[in-house]
Amino acid sequence: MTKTPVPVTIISGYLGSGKTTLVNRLLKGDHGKKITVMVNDFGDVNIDADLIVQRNQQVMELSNGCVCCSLQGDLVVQLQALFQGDTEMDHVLIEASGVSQPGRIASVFGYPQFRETARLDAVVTLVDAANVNTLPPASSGLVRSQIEAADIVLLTKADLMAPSDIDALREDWLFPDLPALNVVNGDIPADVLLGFHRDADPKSPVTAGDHSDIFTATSWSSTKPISLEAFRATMKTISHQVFRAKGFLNCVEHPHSRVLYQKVGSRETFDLDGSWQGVAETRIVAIGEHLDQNDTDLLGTLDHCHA
Amino acid sequence: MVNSNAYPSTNAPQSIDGADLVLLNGKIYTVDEAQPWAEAVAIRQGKFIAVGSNADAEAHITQTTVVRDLQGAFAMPGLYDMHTHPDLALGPQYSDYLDVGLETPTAEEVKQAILAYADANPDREWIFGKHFVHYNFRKAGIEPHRKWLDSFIPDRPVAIMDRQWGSCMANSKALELAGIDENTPDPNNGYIVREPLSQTPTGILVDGAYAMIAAAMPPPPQAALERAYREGARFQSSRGVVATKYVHVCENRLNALRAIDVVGDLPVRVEAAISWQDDIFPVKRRWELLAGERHFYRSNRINANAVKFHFDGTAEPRTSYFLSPWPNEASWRGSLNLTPEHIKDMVTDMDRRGIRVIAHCTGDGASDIFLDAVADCRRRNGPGIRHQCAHSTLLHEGNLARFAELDVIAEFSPVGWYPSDFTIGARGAYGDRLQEVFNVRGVLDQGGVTVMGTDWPVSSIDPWIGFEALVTRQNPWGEMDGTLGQPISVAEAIRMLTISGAWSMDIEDSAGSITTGKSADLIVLDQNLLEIEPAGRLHKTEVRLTVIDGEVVNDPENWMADTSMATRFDTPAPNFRPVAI
Repeated sequence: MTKTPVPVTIISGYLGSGKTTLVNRLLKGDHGKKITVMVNDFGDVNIDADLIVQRNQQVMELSNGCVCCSLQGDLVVQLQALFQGDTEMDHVLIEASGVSQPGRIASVFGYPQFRETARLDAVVTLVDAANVNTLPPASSGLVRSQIEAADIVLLTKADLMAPSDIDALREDWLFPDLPALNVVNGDIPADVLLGFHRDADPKSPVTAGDHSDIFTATSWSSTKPISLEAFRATMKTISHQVFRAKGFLNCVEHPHSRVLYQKVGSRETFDLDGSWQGVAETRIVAIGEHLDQNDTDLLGTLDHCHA
Repeated sequence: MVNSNAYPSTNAPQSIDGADLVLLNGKIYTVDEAQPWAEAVAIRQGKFIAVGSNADAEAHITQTTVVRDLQGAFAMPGLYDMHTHPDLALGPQYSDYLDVGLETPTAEEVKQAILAYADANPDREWIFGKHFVHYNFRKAGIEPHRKWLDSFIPDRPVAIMDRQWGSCMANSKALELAGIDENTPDPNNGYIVREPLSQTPTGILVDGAYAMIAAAMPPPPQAALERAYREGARFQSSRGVVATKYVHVCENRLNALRAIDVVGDLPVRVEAAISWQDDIFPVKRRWELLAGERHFYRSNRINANAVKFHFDGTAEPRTSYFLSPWPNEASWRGSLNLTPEHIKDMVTDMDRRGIRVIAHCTGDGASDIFLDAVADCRRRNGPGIRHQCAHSTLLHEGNLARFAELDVIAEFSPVGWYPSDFTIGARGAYGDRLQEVFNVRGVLDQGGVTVMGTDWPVSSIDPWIGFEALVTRQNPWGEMDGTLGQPISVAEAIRMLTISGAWSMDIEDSAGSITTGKSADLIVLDQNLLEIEPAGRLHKTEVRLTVIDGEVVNDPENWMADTSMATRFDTPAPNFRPVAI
């Protein structure tokens, strides 16, 4: 039996950016998923004692099926051990050290040795909106390299800032195609951040789940073939507004196969996914944050992509 | 290389009688069991003509003899570093590769630097260097891509590393020359970033994948290789080394070594091992060299009668080949780069040609198969060349005695056989077996011959660090507590670094100890190695004089100034000692 590769999310961010708060919330959340978290320091993960089923020096097992283990030594070696072990996992979360380069960790998931077992879902970088502009040069260089590797940015402590300052910060620090969400106290639903769906089928469409007050789902479909190149160019222009997207493409470049498209933040993947069953139809579902009435037709720009 | 008017041969005219150099009043540890200690030596025409008391040496003093009083200083034979790579350590930095020169250059600045370099170096085919910053590209909305490089430099291969050295951006021409296309498989420890669906490489090569670019590039220019070897050898000589093995050479490297040798600037004996595989760098004329062209380089300082190959991998990517699964693995035992059958035929073939096979074996499974191949070779060829098991990081208990039985050199390198962040970090994957690494004690106890290699740049080329760690197996700087593996005695370590090295170069009858008739190789030190407390002190040993073939090649205190023995190496030696923390 071939296993579906376990999705991996890397959480990065400079010291004090709120990583631990976020990891705690994700660990304790009522999402019904077995998350294995790899953290630098156990001591920082402040888990309620009554949640802990078992604990030793390196591994802490929680009553909701989550496991927390401390990162040590060689990441590649530890990951090999993790994926070859018996631990049942729906998701792996890696909390990168505040002073690490998450890009180097993300690269590891491109190695052939991990392809069968793991799939990098996203690098999520937390940026302390209130303090990022006051960091000394060496630290701001590090924050840039954390943003460089990011597929999604979470702006923490944004509630302490004026909206115009937030806009300036996005302009100064982030990339045009990079989605960035304002987050207070790590309050972002796990099912959106980590891409949990009610349906276990990885090809099932994304939904906004129970957080339709923040996240809005929107869709686009067409039976007319599209140009892959035009599609990529168009998605790039709206990339920063689309948090997750998924669907099948009917593109002229690959007339005999449907193309599975997935987007998490600014990370996109395209895979040939066998022949069409029935009518060939491009169908994309996307979720974005606080899309207003005009934005719900966000994907309407895809109308220009017809070949 | 010696002066061509002084080659000795059976009927060559003898020079006038008497010694060229006499050293008196020393504490000379000879490493000659027949006479372990001597007070004085006399040297003539590159050989010791007397080793013994002051009176023995004084008998050879004539008007032209240079006589020096060692005033009780400790002297011993010169050292043998049997596995190292000055070319890999220094070649790249002396190659004048592209350096954008800014910490966080913009895409435009990178482009201008590449164009300026291309203009300034019209004769260089490749443009290689550092660095670009992914962040600045993304910020500017530019995708780091071969097409971006192609847009302004399509006709010459370009490859530029990113700031963190985690990836490399190559243009289409570089990819083409490196043979990287949609059909190229990813290496185990890296990957080729590809366009979705078409699998066409984008030009970004991550981690292990950029080694493919390095392999396609020409070797560092001759001048860079020459400088690397010249400075590396000079430093070794200043630290008491008289013989070394430069393991992995190509024709260009041999040419560089020869260029230094013919003008008399090579202060160490070098055995150069021709690279068997193209994974470090290509050897374009490998078979011409192995068939006999290697003799073109031969002198009393250089031989190229060896080949080097990578049998298994290393600790970090867990590719050392083990006899049992790796820690935390169900079945993974590492990997071999060549089949056991290939090794058997190759060892036998090389053995017949008089070529030493130096086999990189880090895992106990790799050395097991290599020893089997040598056993097979001995059955087919009879007694022959002493082949060399390189690194010997982990050895199976059952193989310890086979080094002696099969006349195989047990080379231990790098010298990181003491507890340190590097050792624990780089070899932490060995798990509990870390305590078994570099089992020098085990091979010696079974009568085998062991030698040391610094394996620079993996560890420092300063031989005294490994020397101290051999006898303490502790961190020489006290950076980390504890010991790693079993120590050997100072006397055993001295043998390992002198006469055993000579044995591993087949010159134990003519060098490696201070014995009448042997090559006059000798070093004078600032402390008596057999009397000091080694921990923390032995690695600080200072070399006050280095003599090879009777030639003074290192004289920091100017003992020979204004005499016929004055050294040609009269400028300060470069310093490649690790920076003290």
